[in-house]
Amino acid sequence: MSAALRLAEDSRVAFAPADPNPQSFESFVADASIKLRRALVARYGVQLGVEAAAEAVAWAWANRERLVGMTNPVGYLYRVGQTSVRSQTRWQRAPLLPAEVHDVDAPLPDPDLRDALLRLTPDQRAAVMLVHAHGYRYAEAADLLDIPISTLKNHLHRGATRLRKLLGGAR
Amino acid sequence: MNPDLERRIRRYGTTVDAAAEAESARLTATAALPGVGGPRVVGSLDNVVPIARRRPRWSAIAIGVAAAAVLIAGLAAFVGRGRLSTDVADRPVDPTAAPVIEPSPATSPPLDSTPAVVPTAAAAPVTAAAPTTAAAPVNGPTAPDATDAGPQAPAASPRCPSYTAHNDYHLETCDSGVAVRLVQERLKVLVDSTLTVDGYFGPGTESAVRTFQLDRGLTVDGQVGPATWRLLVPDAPGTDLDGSGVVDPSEVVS
Repeated sequence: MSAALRLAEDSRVAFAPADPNPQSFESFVADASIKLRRALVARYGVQLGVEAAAEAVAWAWANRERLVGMTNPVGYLYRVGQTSVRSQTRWQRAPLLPAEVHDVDAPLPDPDLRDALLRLTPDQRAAVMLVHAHGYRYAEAADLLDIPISTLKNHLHRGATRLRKLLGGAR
Repeated sequence: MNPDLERRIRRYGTTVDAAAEAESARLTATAALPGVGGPRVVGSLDNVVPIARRRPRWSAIAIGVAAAAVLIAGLAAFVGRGRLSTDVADRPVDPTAAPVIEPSPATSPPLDSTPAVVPTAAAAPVTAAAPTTAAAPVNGPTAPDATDAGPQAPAASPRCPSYTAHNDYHLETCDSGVAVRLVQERLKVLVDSTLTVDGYFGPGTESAVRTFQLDRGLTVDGQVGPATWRLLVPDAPGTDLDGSGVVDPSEVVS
């Protein structure tokens, strides 16, 4: 990859690598913790996801020198979160996501969006929720999940197709 | 993606954020309590390896082999005795039916984690060694509902070696009975329509209970105690004998 492209990539990172300036690291962690929480909750559910995100942030503070040298620190932290979940759960627990909130006077859409999302694979669900529920750009979401953009698009496409199928004719 | 669905999902994003925020606050509050441990030692998360370079760890392989051995031994016992389970009496035995495992509402096949070794090892012995039973993968995401003709006992799962009849607080995993059945009926309507109502409290039921508790702001522990029972089954058939104000699990008539 040419140096110019690499520079452009690096500029997406909230702090320049090899610059352990405390202020910029703090803002990086603040930004990353929201992203991590959203990604890990999308994948593992509220309970496990929030806990894993907290662990990842704690790890970030303990290992900031390592993070500073990486091209994709937030993606690495996402994997730290995943490792944390896996090291805890002996038995695969189904992820817990909250029920969909409806307008009081509008008719209930059936089936529930939450049920449909739980029927996606974890990768598809994470992709769909990051891009469509939380509004991240493809590049941001791909970095966060530490996957190439093409893979992300794959997950998005399959996830959206499956959602359309599961939610049927309902709006 | 069509705009209506997009809008719906975006709105759901706000709901999820709110739930996560609440959970985060709860986590901080409990961590601040004296006696509760702080963040776990995080040094152990150092060996994070990107997926492309991941190699199976020896411990994971050992667990997989041990689990496969246990399953094969269990299956040999099953084939030898021709019974689906051992402990509970009066269990209707139907060796030609597929072993019914409580389907978890959202068990996804583990894609990239090392426990994938266990389900694939489990699937192979089941399909190979039990030709008279339908080839239902033990921990598969699509446990067949069609073969569940009636209240058959689920085969012993790793989680529940046997089910104990239990009709009182707290109802938890590995219990069975009319109270469990009532709980499942309500959960099927309120939380998860794919839940099997068979009176046997397995992982799927526990998961649905947890979802219900999360939705209603109860303590999420996967067990049906008085608070959960009150919200889930406020109008159980039976008589309130102990004056608790509600028909308790022990007072339910089937």
